[in-house]
Amino acid sequence: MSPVYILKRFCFMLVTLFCISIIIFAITMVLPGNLAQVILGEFATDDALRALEEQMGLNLPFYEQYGRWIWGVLHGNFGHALSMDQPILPLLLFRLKNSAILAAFSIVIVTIIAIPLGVFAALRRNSAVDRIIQVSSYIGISVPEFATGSLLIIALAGPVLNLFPSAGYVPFSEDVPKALSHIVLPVMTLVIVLIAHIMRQTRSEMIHVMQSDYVRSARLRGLSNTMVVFKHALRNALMPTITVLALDVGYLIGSVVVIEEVFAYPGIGRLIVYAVTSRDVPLLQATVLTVACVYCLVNFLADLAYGLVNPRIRYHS
Amino acid sequence: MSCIRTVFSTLRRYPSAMVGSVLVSILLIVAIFAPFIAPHDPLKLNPRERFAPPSVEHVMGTDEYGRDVFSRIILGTRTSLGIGLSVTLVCAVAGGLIGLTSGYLGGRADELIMRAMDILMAFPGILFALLILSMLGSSIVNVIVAISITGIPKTARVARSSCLNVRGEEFIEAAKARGERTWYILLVELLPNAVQPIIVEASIKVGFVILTASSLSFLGLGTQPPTPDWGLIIGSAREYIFEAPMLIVWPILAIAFTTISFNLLGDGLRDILDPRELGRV
Repeated sequence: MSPVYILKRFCFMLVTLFCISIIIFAITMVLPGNLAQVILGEFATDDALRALEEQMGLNLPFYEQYGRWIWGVLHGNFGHALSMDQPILPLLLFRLKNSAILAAFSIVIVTIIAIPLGVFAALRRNSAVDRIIQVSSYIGISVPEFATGSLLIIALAGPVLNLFPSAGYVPFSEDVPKALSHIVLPVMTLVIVLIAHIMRQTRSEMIHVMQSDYVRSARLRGLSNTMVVFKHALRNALMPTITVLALDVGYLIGSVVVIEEVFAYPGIGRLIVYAVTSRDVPLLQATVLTVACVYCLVNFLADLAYGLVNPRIRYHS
Repeated sequence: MSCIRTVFSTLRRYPSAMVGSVLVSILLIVAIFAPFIAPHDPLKLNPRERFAPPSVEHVMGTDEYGRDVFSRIILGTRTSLGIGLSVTLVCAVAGGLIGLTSGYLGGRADELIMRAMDILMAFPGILFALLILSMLGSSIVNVIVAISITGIPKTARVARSSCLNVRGEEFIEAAKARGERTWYILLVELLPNAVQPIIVEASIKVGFVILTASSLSFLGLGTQPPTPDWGLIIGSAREYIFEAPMLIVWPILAIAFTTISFNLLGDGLRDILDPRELGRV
């Protein structure tokens, strides 16, 4: 991979993040008087409001406010959460770590299960197993994640079959088996949601690739079926799958927000929802920006991975 | 008559489009005639009959306020389809215009517009919607606005690539040579020939929008009570998840039925309009 390609993608990521930070700040700051009002409550006098606005710099022009904010963020200072009166950064890191645990478990499990299933379905196309896989993945993408989560709670955490806790969290440093049992249901939900996507993608790409000329020519050269599938077809079928995996991280982030709420799991998604409902603007800015950063970084890495497996990209562009 | 016959013979060759269009028609009929189908007032509280089990009077039982669940599910069809179809329409029109213009203009303007779309897409959709709703406040109209904004970039991309395929055709050159105005070329020459992928994308989008909207309602940030809305019903029934699990199961079935119907229709339309994709996915 040429350094120019990497550098280009990296610069694009930085520009994107810059624009996103402006969008986030602009959206949350659209009503500047609001913030002071939120802090002081609706019965605050005009004088008190004005004093606080002055103190917080809310009367400054937009670019100056943005400059102050982004300067702080770049130095690791996200400010104070209004509703909890504590610095945002430690809270953010703690929640981010919890969400990362959920996401990491889910992505690994999904990759292990979905890609072989997709390949299998493609090779046994239109067989009974393929049909079953197809139909179940169709249902998988047609049910929202909070519904899947709720159904899992009813089935596995109810009074009848109380296998796993339905809510809450235990840190891994405290008690590993307990910590694991708490993330079983959220991870299972995420896996069910994502598996359908990856599997459908792998299957369709695999079918597409298996019909291509070079696979046919590999067969004609007398290569064994295993050789054709693994050496020629799979490598090419996985390229788009990597992109979909990366796109799914965005999807995963969205799902995580909802699923953490379902299972009362203290991750960053739940923190975002909390920030929205309690109108905590600094917390909202910090959490949303963090998630956007993660998303952009993952996309950047996916671009690199895509460049690695697809030699065509490395040279031109 | 021959036109209708063509539609039917096409549908017969594409089973998923057939099934999808039948199911979607059922949903549309239910949504339009919802107040006449629902046996009870979906908003009427009845504290004496909380959590009533299914009966002839209440087919799906009653909820925590004694409201008839069946009526709420039926009326919820309106909310869901209303949001799903309006968002899709807004996206198709706005995204379609942006994409076509961008593709037709080409050069610097195209680059700029598409980069802007890329940046908007570098935001997980539901998060962007959350952010917009936190600013606008929660209501059905704002949910439509928020989800539309997150959905426009993708449609714009589809429209642009479709436009690029048509742009080089001779009839566009002819129109230019005749000295037609840009908007005329865009709307009269380009649009009809580039519209198919936009329609396919739109039809696949509906199910996705309905899922997103129901997630937002579930979080309490979308549609507000007491509107009959499936996501909202699940969100409020969560407290009684073990006492009355069916309160959660009914709306889930409704959501699944709706998204599956629209996905089938979308997949079918893609197969019909874009035969190259046949056999993939």
